[in-house]
Amino acid sequence: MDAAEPYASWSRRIAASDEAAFEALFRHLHPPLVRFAAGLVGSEAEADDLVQDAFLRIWTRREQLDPQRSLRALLYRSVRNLAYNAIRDRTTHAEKHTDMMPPPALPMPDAATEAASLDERLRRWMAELPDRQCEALTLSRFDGLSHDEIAAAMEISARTVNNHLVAALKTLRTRILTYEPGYLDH
Amino acid sequence: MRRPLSPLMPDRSPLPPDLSAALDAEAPETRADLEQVWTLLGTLESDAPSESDRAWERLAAQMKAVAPGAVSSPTRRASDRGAIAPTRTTRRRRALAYALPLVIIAVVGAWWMQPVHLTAGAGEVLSVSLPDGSTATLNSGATLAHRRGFARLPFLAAETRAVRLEGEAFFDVESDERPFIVETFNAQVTVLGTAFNVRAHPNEAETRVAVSEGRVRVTGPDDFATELTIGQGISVGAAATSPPASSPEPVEVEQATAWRTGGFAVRDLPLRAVFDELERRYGVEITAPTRLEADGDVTLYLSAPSSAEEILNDLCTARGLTYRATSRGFAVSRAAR
Repeated sequence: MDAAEPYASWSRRIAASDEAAFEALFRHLHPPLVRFAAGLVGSEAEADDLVQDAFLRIWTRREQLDPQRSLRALLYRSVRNLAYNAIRDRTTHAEKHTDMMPPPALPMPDAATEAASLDERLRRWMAELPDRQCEALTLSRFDGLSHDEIAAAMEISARTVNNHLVAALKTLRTRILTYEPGYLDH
Repeated sequence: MRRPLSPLMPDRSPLPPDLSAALDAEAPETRADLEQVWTLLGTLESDAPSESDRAWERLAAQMKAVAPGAVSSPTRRASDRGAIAPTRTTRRRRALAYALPLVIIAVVGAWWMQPVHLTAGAGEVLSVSLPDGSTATLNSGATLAHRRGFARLPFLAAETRAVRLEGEAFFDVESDERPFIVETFNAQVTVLGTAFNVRAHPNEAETRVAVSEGRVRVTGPDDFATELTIGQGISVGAAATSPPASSPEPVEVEQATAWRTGGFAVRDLPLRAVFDELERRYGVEITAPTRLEADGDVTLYLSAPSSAEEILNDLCTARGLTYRATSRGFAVSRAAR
């Protein structure tokens, strides 16, 4: 679906300082990139800043854009790296408590809790996947990136992307089979 | 650290070809299930898309502020907003623009506070990765809870890596300067980086720890504290038992962790607890009159049992009991003499 977008053409035009192409790229990718970044950093305002940074970097280095390489993957990788940097920077500046206290008492999972809907359950189960699997699945299923684009964005091999996706789907399948097997009827 | 994400629009995309090819290796039934999972993900309600117009205006302004060909280094902190000083109009616009995101932040914050819950279902052995790269393998029926990223509040550093366990799990912990702490209903196991088994079922009234690699520190009620090393184990009783815990003793770690590879091992467990273990492992229901429990504790080890019945058979033979199949499992009773 998104393969129809003229990324290669935009890439060429932006390298030639075509602002209209840059705006078109921005308007197309800004919403999903903000959503992706917000999922990593937890705040939409901060995500917006990160995505702005990523686009600004593309613009200031636009002569280096290569139309052969996925512009979309480049943006996702840039946003992702900025997000992880922000998270790392944030924790080094955080207040550290001297830990004389025992670990916080966590509420035990309430076996009687009914998840209201499949929607909530799927979201929760996705959030419980290992980080890399959740990212790969999100980029593939919701952002529509190809395996190669995901590999470029996450800086891993396409084969690993595949492994993450299969593992994620299998885990979700197990969850559904355990709690709501009816959802898999087909 | 992650928020459940969703498509901007509900979508019916088929599996990407690479993924479809990879799934060819699966059994047809499994493959069909996985495709269905993929389809279900497309039904998630979309999030409201963010405002692109205002964002573009901001970006366009920043582009003008950057000389052609010059490399700028935009600040990355959330507190700094761009390379140009905001005008009063822009500030007011920004205030409006961020009224909505503040609500989103509050909701995300509330979501953040909820711990991650992981559960192994009946007969399932579930391996999970924790935010620091450690892994926990959960035995059937076990639940593990921890805060996202181990942090008490969003964006604060976690000083410890704390998880709450009910049931049985094997931990393989990455070395890290933050202590890794497993909290059970009555004890805490603290490690820096090592591999060990923890078994804590409240109705067995004790937490058992067996160390496979490294060194752990176990603390419990009445200021109980001790350290264990490879091949050692301990049982910590519920509060007000005396003594609160056994001394560190050599344990057969291989037997204590036999469940990870399909074995079945119990050591000094009351009969009802053994039945509970079978129930969790095989998803069956085992009923038995309570007077059988007076018979005393059971120790049993099968490295590769083929079924619940095989185990039950051994158990009953050893104890002079008999069993019969029921619609939901088994019923055990005293054997006729």
